[in-house]
Amino acid sequence: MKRPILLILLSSLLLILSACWDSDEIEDLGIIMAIGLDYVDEQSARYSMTNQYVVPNNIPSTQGGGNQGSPFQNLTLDGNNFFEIIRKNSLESDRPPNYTHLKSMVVSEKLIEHEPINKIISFFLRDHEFRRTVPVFITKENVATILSVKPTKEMFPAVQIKELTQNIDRSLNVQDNLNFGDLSKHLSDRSSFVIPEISINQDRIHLAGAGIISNKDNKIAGWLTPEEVGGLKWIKDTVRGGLVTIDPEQSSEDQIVLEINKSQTKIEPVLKGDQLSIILSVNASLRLGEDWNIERNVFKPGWDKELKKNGEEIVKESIENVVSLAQEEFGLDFLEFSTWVRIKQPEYWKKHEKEWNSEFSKVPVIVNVDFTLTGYGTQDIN
Amino acid sequence: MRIRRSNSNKPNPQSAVEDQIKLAFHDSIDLQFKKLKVASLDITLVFLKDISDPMTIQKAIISPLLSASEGGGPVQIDGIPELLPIASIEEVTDFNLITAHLMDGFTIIIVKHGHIQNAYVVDTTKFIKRTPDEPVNEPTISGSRDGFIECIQDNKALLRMHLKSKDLIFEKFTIGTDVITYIYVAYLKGRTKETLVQEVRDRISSVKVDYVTDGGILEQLLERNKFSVFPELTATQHPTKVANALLEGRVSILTDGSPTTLIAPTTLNMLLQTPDDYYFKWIPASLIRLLSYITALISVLLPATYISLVSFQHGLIPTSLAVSLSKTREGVPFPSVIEAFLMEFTIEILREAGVRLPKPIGSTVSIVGAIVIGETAVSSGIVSPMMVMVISFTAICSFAIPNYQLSLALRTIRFFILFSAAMLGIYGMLIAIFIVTTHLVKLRSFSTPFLEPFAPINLKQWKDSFVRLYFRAGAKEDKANE
Amino acid sequence: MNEKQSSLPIIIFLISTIIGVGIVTLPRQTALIVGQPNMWVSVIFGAIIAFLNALLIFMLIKRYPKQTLFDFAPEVIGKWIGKLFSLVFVAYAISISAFIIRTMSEIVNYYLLDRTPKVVVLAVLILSCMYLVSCGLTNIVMFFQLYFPIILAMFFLLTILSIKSIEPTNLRPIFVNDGFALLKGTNTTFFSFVGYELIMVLSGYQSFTKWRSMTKILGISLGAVCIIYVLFFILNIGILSIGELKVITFPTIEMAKTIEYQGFFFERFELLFLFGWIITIFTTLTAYYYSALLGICKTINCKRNIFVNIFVGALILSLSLVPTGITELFSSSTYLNNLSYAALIGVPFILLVVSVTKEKFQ
Repeated sequence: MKRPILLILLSSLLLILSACWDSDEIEDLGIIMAIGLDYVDEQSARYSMTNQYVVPNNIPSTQGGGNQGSPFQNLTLDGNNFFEIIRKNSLESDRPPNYTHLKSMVVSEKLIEHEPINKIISFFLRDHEFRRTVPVFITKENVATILSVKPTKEMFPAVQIKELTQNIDRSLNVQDNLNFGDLSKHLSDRSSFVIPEISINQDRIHLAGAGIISNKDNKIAGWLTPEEVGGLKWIKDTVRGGLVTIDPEQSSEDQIVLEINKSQTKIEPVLKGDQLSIILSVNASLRLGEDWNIERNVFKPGWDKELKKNGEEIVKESIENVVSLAQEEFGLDFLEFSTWVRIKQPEYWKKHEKEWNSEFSKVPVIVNVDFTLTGYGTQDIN
Repeated sequence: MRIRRSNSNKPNPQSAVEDQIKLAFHDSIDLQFKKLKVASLDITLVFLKDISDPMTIQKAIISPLLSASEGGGPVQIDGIPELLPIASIEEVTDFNLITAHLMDGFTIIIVKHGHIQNAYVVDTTKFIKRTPDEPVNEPTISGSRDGFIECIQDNKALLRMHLKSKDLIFEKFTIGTDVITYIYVAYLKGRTKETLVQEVRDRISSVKVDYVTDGGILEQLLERNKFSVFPELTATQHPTKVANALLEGRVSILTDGSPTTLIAPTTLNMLLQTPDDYYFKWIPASLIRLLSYITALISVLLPATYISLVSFQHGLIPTSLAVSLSKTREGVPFPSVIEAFLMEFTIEILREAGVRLPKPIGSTVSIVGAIVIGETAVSSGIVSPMMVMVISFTAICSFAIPNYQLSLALRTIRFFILFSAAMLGIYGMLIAIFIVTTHLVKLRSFSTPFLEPFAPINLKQWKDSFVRLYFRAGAKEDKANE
Repeated sequence: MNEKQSSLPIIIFLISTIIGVGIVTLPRQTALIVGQPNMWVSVIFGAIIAFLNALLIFMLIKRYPKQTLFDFAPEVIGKWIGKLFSLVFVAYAISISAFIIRTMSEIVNYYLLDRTPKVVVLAVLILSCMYLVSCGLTNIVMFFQLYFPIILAMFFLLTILSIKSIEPTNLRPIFVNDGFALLKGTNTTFFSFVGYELIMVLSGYQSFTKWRSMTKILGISLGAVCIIYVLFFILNIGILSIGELKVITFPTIEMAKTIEYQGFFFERFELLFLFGWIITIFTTLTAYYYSALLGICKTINCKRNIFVNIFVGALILSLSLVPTGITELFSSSTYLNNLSYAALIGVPFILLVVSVTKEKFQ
């Protein structure tokens, strides 16, 4: 009877004796919402890091009240490595930075030009506070500037940047976030990939194209425009919505806008002898959204033939454009063809894994686009 | 008080018995003697004035005896019981029984004829009792509204009324060396395991105390785990609850002079149920049952979880909440642990104050406590609004636990877990939960595991645990043979 | 009906014991050896081998109903060698306990308590385990039964929540593979199924004599664990990809950390996994702790008491503090594997052979 009591006493004693080593009150933390990494290349320090702190006192409360300051504070410091810079923060802020609520990370073009990205993010992958779900962005602007752009709808620029990609199903030019986990996955798979780009447009943060990271040196190899991002999305089967616009120049008719309902892309690597070719087929269903060509009669069968052909042509063009960009201009497989070759042609992949970059440039790509027009809306205007 | 035993089985000569009684009751003035002479017999009536009914004595004893005397016929010493128009009249031969009956309000008739003398007891009890009202601390929404009272005879009657079964058995025990208290053990033969009944009997007979004044005290005397905060017996004042428990094969223990009836064995599952669960359709009833499990869990874990999230694992709070928490906690002078203990302490004081004070003032205290103290504490920045919310929500959850004993136990456990969480965060909380559950697993209530349908797992009984599945007509459960 | 009632607690006991550290570290270890998307097949191979080994052990304990290893080993092979064998098993149980709780403390230090000393993290766990062990096997079995549905529910919930993050391309190709690599991986996966050998200890609690019921018990428990492991492998590979598995220290936790639901009451769900997982560690520790305690008590012929209990606890605690870092910890598992071979296959096999020959000659 006495034994368990003794044990309970012992364990509670231990609990009492053990001071609370890890106890940190939440108000004593510097919650960091965003970090920005930049390259300065000076004698004293090579890198700079911007930490976006939450300033809890300036958060507007629901009961109104004075909201004088900005709810965030950016602290940019220089140093030779990032861990060192983070610890340098303690010289200026009494609140130890806490990265568990990090919302986005912005890396400047200059930094990736000079340093391979796997070295840059080594610290962030190692430390447990950084979650694999933090999205990474690249920018041509100064990182400190872009993080101080006053957000329009959100409270913090960090959140605004992260949420920009919410509209992935609205526009072809919006691509999905690339988060730490994906980044690390690409790095350990040794494949090229793209990082979404943000820029400043009329004092607002703006989602631009993307930066291509080469798998040869893990540095930036080139850029994609927003239109090219659209093509890339078709290839990577990440189209979840958006518009296909048929310009008057491309057809005999006035301009027409089609809305994408659903799309599926299949990549089929075909091996003939030793020659690999890739068949890329897109299957999409669309709806007539805006029609400047008033004379059309949608109740007549076959009304969509022309539209279908023209739309398919446009998408095919944009896909081929990106493919040729990848194959000819950069010679980098950021289209993730390697995944499909690995899955579908494992023998070939084993043989050519090492020289895939050069093989990739030579692979003929056949693009098939097939549209289905499912509707024209609630009313047809005549 | 020392009880003297008489030397022989037969009472001593009449005067001697009277003297013995007098001596035993220290000449207390409510002890009354009434001498009569019927034919050749000397009759003495002995009773305690305030607890015996003078009308009954008058009508049922004195008048018939006197009329028999007037009739002039010879009256035999053994013929006295036949003269009296009373259902139960017994002859006693043991002096201890005489005193015991006197204390129950019985009237002792001592009949003497020469050297032969007999003593009879007649039930003339006058009960001081209230009506069987609904128990204050166990209100039900529907279902019967009667409750046990202080009078054990009425309590037995209530049970009989609710369970019209010939299998319902009462066994009588007497506890206490100085002040005797009658204990009745009730069970349904055939449904209750004989080993269980035997264990109850053994435990009751092994209780050696001077006196027992209430069922709550008896409960503690019958328990085997002195250091456990969890109840081994359920205390209830609801006849329906007891009737249901008896039907489930449990044993109930009634204490004279106390409305609290004990049910053994008790399981956690049982403590989280209310009779109401059975009166409504099974789907809403199941949801309510589920709710009472959830509230029990919340009332134990919520403050600890809050503390470990706010001062240890900040990363697990949703970002927007984390930001607003750090805003509201800005300027609070205490660490959240101290804050939590402070608030818990205040709530407990308020609760106790509310219970002790008379009803109208009690509610005032709650209002003053809740609104004035809570509101001012927040606005003056001593505590953060979130903490007030957490603690008051916890308090509300613990009010929602159907059983007061359990709610008391969980309150204690809550502090232990809160304390561990304050030391080691989520991990400490988990370790504390391990310790508590180890204790619960080890706990037996009359050889029944306290966590019965969950550990050991009994899937068949799960249908009446988290949920309460529909009744199946015609299904006869034979618990005793399981 | 009767048989079912008595075998369910044993199944739960075995499952709770077997699931432990493996769920967190195994994906990385296997990925390093196999390195192909269908490496979960290795887990199934591992389960089959474990099942065969368990049957070997069963053949031994069947001969000595209602006796534990520590009871019949001296009987079979002579008092002193038998005691030596018992001590080998005790050493195995103690080192496996030390290994798992050390791994757990590393994870707790990484993800939950940064600055808390390891000694505290470990000591608190061992003390609470000591309390449970002191309550005896009946209560331990009940404790496992209480937590079993909770563990299952947590893992199930985690699976449901993480399904949307799976990328099917990571899991493919399924059929084209290097069979030899899969077999090589079996050596690793096999060790995540240890725990079934405790039937040698459980045999004192309940006698196992029927082939049918025993194969059922072992089949269900190893099968269930196998399903859980395969499920977690698929989640790990699908969410993190093989390349990542090789480099992440504790892949399953990172996997759980990637589950995020914005705008939910809880955004993050790794706690769910950590809770469930620490419970499994606790149950595993309890099972081995109890076996070690029982072994020591039976070997030196004394009653189970608080002093031996504290002694075993202190032994586990100090042994778990031996590795200086996480690399040393992982490399120490090689020694552990050798010890496991001795305790899992060596001891039962020798005992069985001796026992059978003895019977033949008499």
